[in-house]
Amino acid sequence: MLVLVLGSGSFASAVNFELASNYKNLYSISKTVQGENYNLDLNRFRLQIRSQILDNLSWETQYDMEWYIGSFLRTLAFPAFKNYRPPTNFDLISPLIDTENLYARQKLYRFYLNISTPAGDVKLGRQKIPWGTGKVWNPTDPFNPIAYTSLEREERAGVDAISYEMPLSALSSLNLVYSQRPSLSTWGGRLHTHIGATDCSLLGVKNGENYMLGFDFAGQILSAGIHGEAAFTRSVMDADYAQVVIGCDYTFPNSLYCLMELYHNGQGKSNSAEYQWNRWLSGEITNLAKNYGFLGVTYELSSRIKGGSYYLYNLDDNSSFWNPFVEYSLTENASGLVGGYLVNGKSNSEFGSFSNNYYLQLRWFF
Amino acid sequence: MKRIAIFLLLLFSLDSVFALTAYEMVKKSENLVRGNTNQGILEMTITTPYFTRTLKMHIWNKGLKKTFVRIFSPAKEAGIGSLKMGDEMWNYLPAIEKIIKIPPSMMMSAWMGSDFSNDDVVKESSIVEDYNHRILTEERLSGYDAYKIECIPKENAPVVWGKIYFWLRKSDHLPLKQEYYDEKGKLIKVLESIEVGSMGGRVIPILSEMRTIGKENSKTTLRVREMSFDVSIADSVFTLRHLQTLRAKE
Repeated sequence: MLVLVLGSGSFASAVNFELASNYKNLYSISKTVQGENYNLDLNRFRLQIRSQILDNLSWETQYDMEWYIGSFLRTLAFPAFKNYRPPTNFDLISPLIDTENLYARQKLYRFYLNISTPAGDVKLGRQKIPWGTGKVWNPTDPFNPIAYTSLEREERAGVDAISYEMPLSALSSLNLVYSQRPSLSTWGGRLHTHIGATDCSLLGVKNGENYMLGFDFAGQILSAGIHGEAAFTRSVMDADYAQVVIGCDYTFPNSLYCLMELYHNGQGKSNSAEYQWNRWLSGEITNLAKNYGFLGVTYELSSRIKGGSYYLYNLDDNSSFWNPFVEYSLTENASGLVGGYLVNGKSNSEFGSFSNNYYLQLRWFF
Repeated sequence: MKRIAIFLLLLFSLDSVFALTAYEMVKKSENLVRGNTNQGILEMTITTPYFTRTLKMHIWNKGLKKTFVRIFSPAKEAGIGSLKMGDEMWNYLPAIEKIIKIPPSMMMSAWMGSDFSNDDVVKESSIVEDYNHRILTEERLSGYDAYKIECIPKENAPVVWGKIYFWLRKSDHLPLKQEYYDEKGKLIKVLESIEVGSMGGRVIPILSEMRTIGKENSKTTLRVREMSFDVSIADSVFTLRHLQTLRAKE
């Protein structure tokens, strides 16, 4: 509909349009928390439209059409899955087909206007606010923190926000954000700058009734990259807490890439009996325990094949999550990915509570 | 006595025999292909035994310290951008909608799976400023009379090569070939100018080929589709703001 309206007549001739799309098929086998074995085949067609309306006005939308098949649709967990709504105000999520064997829906992934002025950029709508330097944990990102154990790690719901970014220099900026979610409003400001060979940021956030001050950096020691974040939160739900992540990464001449991160989550619990599962399931918190470690490696086996292994360890309950994978370039615009999420730990531990998950993904860009 | 004088003269670097020093020749060569600024469209074709893929990109250069690259084809990589400022580099990855700072260790890794490294593409290191140069000999190469110049890294220069041999066309110092050796003297990569032509009012290599030794049947070619030299390029191009802003039809 948007394409028809905006693509009509003389308007289209005055406007630059760019269309792109991709198709993803993600097939997974696992078990629900209720112990039901299942398979699930997710298909997603994503249409991306980017348009330059005027020299300083543009908009972008990413629209999804998804359809699911597999025995997961007949499990006890499926109703919660299909009824889940991300904390956004308008997402156009509506089921198109809802049967025992096929569930199809549409949704809006991104939709925003971008106004560019000499004084900065204003972005209004559904967007991702890319704060933080952590690659596994992002305590300074109150909008879209990484959920590393998610099967679709790159997917972020986005927030409905107005963001103003004022450039201060080529490598420095001030970003002010207001985000209104159904039951939560967030105000944030982030001053990003470059000192020596290091990017660093100072930020302050009012998230509902909580206040957070934070800091992040990305630099280098010799040839290795180092990065980190620290967030100090005054919370109404919890005692005041600190969250700190520090990491480093290095690429060897033979293409071996190594990434390590350590995370202290002051909001978490050292005792697995005190884990706040309900808050985690609702998305209010992203991690249950206090201390974590991560080791990731990737290696180019050939010009077409890349293998990797990500290992995430809960230092408090000794449970772990291991993700080995192999990625294969099928064509110039298509790739395949096969892997597993292998969990280990006691039944009441964070990762031991889950089941192994095996997946095969195909992705095609056009 | 005369023989001694001639002998002593020959003992000095061959540089003293030529109108330009080796440094000046290399500098002139770099200026020929870069200018004070340049802006254009490049096509990089990566050929392996399994597939061939082509990346198309816009590139902007301002001096030796500022480079901006934006890939616009194929669809899978469209929108990926690279910014180099001084000795540092950042990438924008549309898949995660984020800017990533590239650590030094990643500079020598392959750019987008090609035979060119990140350093080759954004020219973090400078063959002019980071090396000492010496004319070794004159040779015939690809049908042209050429100087063969040896480039040895200066102490503490941020480079990984042990040495580079650089062949320049005698008539205009057009680069013809470069051989890259590691610190143990082993030949690692070869860059050759395959086709020379006129672009942006200059005669430059319009088709170059990079091969990694040991990777048989694999190569990367770089074709210049459009190029303008010494044009005015706004400093706003070389910013993180521009890196993370994707415009339709950039």
